[in-house]
Amino acid sequence: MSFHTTPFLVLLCVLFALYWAIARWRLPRLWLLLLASLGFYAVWNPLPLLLYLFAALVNAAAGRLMERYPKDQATRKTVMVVAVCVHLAVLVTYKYLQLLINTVGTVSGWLHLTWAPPQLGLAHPLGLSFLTFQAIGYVVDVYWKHTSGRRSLLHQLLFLTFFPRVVSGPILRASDLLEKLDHRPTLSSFDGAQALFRITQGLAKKLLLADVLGGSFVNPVFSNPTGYSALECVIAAVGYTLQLYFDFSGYSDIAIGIAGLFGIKFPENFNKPYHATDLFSFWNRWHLTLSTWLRDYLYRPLGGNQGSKLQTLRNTMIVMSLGGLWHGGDWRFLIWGALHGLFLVLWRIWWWVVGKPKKGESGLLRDVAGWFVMFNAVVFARIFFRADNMTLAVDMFRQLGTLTTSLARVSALTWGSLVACIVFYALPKPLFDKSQAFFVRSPVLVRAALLVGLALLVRQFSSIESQPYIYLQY
Amino acid sequence: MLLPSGPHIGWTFAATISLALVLSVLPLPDALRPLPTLRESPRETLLAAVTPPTKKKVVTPQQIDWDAEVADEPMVFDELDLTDVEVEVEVRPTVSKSVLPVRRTAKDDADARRWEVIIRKVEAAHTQVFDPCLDAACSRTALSAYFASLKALRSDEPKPVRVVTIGTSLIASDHITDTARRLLQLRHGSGGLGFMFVDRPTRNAGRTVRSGTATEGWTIEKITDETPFAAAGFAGVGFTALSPQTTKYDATDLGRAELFVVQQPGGGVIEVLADGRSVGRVDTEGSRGQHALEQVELPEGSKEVQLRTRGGAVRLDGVALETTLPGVVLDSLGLPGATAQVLLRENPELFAAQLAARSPSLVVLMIGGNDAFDMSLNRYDAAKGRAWMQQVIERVKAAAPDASCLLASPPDAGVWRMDDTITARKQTREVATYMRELAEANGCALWDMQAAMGGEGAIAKWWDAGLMNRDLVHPLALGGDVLGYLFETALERARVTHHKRHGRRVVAERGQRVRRGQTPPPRRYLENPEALAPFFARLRTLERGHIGRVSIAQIGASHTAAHFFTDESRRLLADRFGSAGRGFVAAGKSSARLEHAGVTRSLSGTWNVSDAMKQRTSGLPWGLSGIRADAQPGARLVMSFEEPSGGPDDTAHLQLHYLEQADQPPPEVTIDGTPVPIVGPPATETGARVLDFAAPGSKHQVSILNPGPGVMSLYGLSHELMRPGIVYDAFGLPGSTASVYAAYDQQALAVQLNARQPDLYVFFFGTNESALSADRIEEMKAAYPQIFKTTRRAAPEAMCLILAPTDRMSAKKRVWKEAESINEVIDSMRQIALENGCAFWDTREVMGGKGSIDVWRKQNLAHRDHVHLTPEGYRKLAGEFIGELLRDYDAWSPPP
Repeated sequence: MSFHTTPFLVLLCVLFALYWAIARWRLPRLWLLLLASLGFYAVWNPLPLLLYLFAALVNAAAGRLMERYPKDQATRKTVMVVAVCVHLAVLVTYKYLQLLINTVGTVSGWLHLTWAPPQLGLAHPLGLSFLTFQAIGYVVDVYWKHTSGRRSLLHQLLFLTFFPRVVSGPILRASDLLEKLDHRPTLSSFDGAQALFRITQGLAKKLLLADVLGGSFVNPVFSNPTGYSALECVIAAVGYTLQLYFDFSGYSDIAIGIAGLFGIKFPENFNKPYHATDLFSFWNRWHLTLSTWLRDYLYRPLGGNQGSKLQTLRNTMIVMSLGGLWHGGDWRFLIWGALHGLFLVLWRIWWWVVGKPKKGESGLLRDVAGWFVMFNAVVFARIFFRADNMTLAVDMFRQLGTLTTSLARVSALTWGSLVACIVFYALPKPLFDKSQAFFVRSPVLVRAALLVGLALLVRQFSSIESQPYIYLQY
Repeated sequence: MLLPSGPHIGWTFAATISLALVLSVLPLPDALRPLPTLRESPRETLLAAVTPPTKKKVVTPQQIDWDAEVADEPMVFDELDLTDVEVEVEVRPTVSKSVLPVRRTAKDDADARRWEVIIRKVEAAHTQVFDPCLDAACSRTALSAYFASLKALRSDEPKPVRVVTIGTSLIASDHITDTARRLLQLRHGSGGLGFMFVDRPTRNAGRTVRSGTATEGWTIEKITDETPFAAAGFAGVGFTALSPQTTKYDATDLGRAELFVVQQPGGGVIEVLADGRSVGRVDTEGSRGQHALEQVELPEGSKEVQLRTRGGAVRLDGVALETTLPGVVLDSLGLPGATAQVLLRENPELFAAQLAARSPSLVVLMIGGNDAFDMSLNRYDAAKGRAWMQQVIERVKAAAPDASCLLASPPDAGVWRMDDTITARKQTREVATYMRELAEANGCALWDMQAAMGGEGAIAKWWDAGLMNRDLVHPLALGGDVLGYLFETALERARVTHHKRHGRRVVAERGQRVRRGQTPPPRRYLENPEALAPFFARLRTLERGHIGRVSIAQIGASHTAAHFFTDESRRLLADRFGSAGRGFVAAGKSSARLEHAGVTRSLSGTWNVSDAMKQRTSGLPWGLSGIRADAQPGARLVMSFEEPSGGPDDTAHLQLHYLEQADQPPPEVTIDGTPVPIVGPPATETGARVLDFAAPGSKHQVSILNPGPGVMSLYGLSHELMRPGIVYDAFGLPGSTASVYAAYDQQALAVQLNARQPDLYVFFFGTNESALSADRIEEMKAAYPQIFKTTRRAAPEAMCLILAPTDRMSAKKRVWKEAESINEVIDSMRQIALENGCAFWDTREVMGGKGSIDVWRKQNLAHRDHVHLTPEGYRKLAGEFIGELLRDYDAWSPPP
């Protein structure tokens, strides 16, 4: 049940009313949220909830064990490592085992060995990647004594299944949610209206911008690149970059807004990523909860940039490659991540050679050049990310190499949606703030009219082909 | 203020939901109503708004054990045993000795069984090919040439029958076409592989079954390339070897290779080798872009044919590999991404020359899917798509004027919604609509692939059944096979229908059964129309002399009682012959169905309206429509009639049908407020009586009051205009059968029918009998003699016409299956018609034959009960009926 479906929105209203009616009682409130979260997930497929239960049990047990031996660092570390390995084993089993088996089969074929790789037929549980990282984050936080390991199973389960984030993040830390669950929630009228505005904004981003652009041009081109000119392929690649941003940031807006309606503040996931003038800055603005997770739980433990230069570069490559593979069981994601790692490595070397500019002192020309390189690197790498398979990715690059310039297949709708995306992205923040203030201050009926108007507008575009949330698959 | 103005979230939710609901029920355009269906079906809409959508699961064909499904449903394969159909039309598929026979294997049977089960499971349908007439007399149809060539296969001088299929990625994979090819060749013998590409048009992609195994050095240029290949021929792709290259094919059972060469100055040579031995040499030098067809005979028993280029550039578009013995060849020219617009990029001269060189009997244009896709992206609109399609058809017709053409409109395609549900791509229907119009306008046949899949939205079921690719456009192998099977069997059905039509015409000519030696009309579904000659004579008198009233009395069950069929029939006849009024309307409570025909009806006081189905043993006679309205003293029936075609100068003729009872005074009748005296001796016995009145004008209100003291029983009123024209009465009782009608008081019926003075009886029973067990057919057969006896006694000059029942299905174990006795009922009714000198119209065949009610349901022409039609369905059926009736009338009496 996606966030933008009518049943979800109707049930959200009902849940909102129930929640605030019992908000003062801790356990009923938490149980209500847990049941709602389990129900929300079960609409997709209830079976993977067993994995969530398993992860919660592992975390609860690991947390208590570590708390039992606060001074015994070796035991704590062993418990932490075992728990992390268990979480990773589940992830690998469901997400990467088939890929590995198939790869062995392919290599066997190259070696003229007759071995048919078995097909495991394991379905990929929704939100497994997010679950794994969040669960690992908790165990490591307990080990680092950033949070308490004495959490009930109810808390653990709610932490992992809380419905606004369960399928596509954000990846939360214990401090973002687990530690707040027992606090009696409050919701000022102002905060509530802001949350509602955030949801509205997310819906508009997703349904009116991302889906229209994706359906009208990006998806057709990526599914048959050889039928389009090089210039059209470029437009599709750039269009995908915009589509992905509006799709995922729209989802994040909705998730943040929904959590806000229940008095819970989620961390931000995006910060104008295409404003970045270098690739490091881009990763400090894009999918923040993932990039900070990778930084805190992988990059820094590997040594970060505190070792030699070679180790820094190695760590960058490892983190970005694994971060890429986290997105899916396909070598395309590894290539995408590795490409980003490579670009970051090159960028860092460049800085080592010419010196890293200090903030605000780089100059316009250098900023523009940096932005240009950053944006093209992002767009280029995402061709692997978006293509349905490696053949289509290669087709796309081959087509780009033809240097043909026809624009005959770019319809007025595509141009219109591209312009709308760019304009929406480029709108200055004060304008957003004013819009939000206007929405918050508006009378109830005006707000209701705006929401209904948005719904009608979305329906007008419903004939445009649309896709599930892109990050739903990861 | 009604609502607080602050940022109250709960109020905002409540206000939003309320506003959405209020807007949804207001009479606003749909674009302004958040839930447009709320007004029409509030319960379902509200339920859907709070019910999580059912997510479509990823299904692969391997996940469904179709063989187990087949075992569970062994009966469904009987659905289309065309061998029997062949026997019926006496064109047994005995392949002559001069045609290469193809052995039917156990796998063929198993495949067909599996496909039939799948068709049932996904609610697809064996739809008819639309095969329009090419002349007024319908002596030829769009597919006549193709069928004639198939027939000629069995003659003394057989020639190969070539079917050239031009299409998109849908056939590029050769799943649809290879199944169609296999089935055609099983039926008519194999003519070989047909046209084969030099290499796969997209190298290293797709199946290799329609191409040779080529070396890497061929340059491949296509009309779908970014820079379209301007010199493409009818295949849309050209293969050029600038250096020596080869391609080779399996030549088992083949005897001839026809090379489609495009000449050029300085062109090289192609050497043809059979099993390594040179058997021919083709020089490609000539004027640039000139088509040349070079034929090379292959030695008997050849296993492989290889084409080797040398001595300069060689352009070879493909090679047709055929047997020496004639049979059916099906070429599959599919290019991924092709649209009508794209096909127009082919060089017109080369296209014409190459297509003509294939000498096809049938050209199939299986395009439109990409057009629908482009239209969904607003790249162009239907008008442009249609115009391009028209140009493609013109090219085909110009290049192959003697061939039949057939348009296959695109399959149902889908779009994934964001909640992982599937919605149909709306533009598919738009394309199918204009393709149908173009087919009719250009004398081409049409096969509606979307309808065959089950109509708009069928894609979801096909996805569930693991038949479709995730793109919801391309069928997987099994889905393609099912489509190919549906296509071929539709073609075969069209052939059978064509043969039936043609065969009967010959018999009629020989039998001199049509007066004055005129060319008889083509028999479609109206059998024994000669029986209607006196009725036609009255129609002609009415049409040419503007003399007389021609009255039709239709007697039947719910199809008649619904009025939609009879209203439309009346309207169509009145359009040509003029209207003489509404005719008979039964007494009863108000009915919206009557209002649009200008009739209103209301009851006041205490009434009891009973009918022959509810009270089978009443004892008192029933009216013509099987009802009787019993009024307590003081009760009143008011009926008003307004004839749309009438005016103040007209005079109306009214009839009151009622039950006269001893000691009961006649009803008090007022017309337009004026009491009408009813004179006559008091009744001495109980019986049906009809009173006649006249009233000036064409708009009247009639009031009938029971003055008491006893119960007054009314049957109905008729309202006509005293002028030449058509009167079409509807006497229908829902649920009734011929047996029920025969059990009425026949004396009362005769009195009333006599008052109506019909010129033609139309009997429309059988649908309810179809659901009865077969042992009750005798009961039905026994009823008709009684009915004929009464109706002929009432109107000896009237002719009769029996309409077969509409197709009907019954749910058994939650699966819709053919109604139990429908075939026996139709056969019996046909026999009764012929034995009693009645014409017979095969309603079920008109609808599309077995299972057609399900197709009609999907097209919103029939209801879910698989019995009744929707108003649109009845109108469509009436259009077919009257259209055919008038064609026969015109043939009998050509316009002066």
